[in-house]
Amino acid sequence: MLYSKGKTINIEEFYKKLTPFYHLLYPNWEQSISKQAVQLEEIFTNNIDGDVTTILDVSCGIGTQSLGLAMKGYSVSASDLSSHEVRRAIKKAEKRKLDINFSVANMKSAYEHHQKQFDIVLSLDNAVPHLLNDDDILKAFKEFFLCTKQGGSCLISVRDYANEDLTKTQVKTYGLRNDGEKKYLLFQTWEFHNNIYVYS
Amino acid sequence: MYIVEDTGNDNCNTRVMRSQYYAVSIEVLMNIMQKAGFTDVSRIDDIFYQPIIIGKKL
Repeated sequence: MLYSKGKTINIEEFYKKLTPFYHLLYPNWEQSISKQAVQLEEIFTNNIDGDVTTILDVSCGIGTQSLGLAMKGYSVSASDLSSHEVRRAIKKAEKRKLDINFSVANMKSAYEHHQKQFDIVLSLDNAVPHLLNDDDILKAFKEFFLCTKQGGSCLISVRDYANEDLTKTQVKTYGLRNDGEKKYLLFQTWEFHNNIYVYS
Repeated sequence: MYIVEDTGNDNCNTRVMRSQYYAVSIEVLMNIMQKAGFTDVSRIDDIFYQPIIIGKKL
């Protein structure tokens, strides 16, 4: 466990604080919902034999991909470690009158939690690297494997760290966002401790 | 993540949220997917905003 300014970093607390602002990570979150669903469907069509009807998103966040895929008619189950993010995703689904099976679960116990298999298992938006070593990632991937139907596929999206300078602290700007009458500037710092970094 | 709220006044409100990540390479992740049982593990670029790793369960 790493520490920042003498405080323990807690991922649940991180997402609790981020949840109300999560949509600001995107220039236009509403447009991203539809756009990403189209992109994912293209990937399904080009890479998966057979029909895709059922999808499990094991790191759904506030529902960016789950909402769009449900709008396209897929049967979607979605879980996340953060109860705060899941609560916001449920509200977004209700507003759109979408029937998505949301729940709170750690991706490392995805099959133990869902006890079901799906045509597609998703973990997008760089969620997997929250697991801080290869053993934990293997444990999660074994659960994803159990959640995948025979003939199905698992899709992970991650940052490409090969394109990043991991030798010194990084500052990343997300940009300026207008949200109603409010204006926000978003940026990150990455402070490295070997191949683990504190993201602020 | 630093979120600076511009209130229009001289001082802004800043919130900071801290987490941690493992800067794991795509190559390592692909190997771990294979260890977990997935086959035909490959990488898809240029469609989604991040690279996608896809593995099949035969």
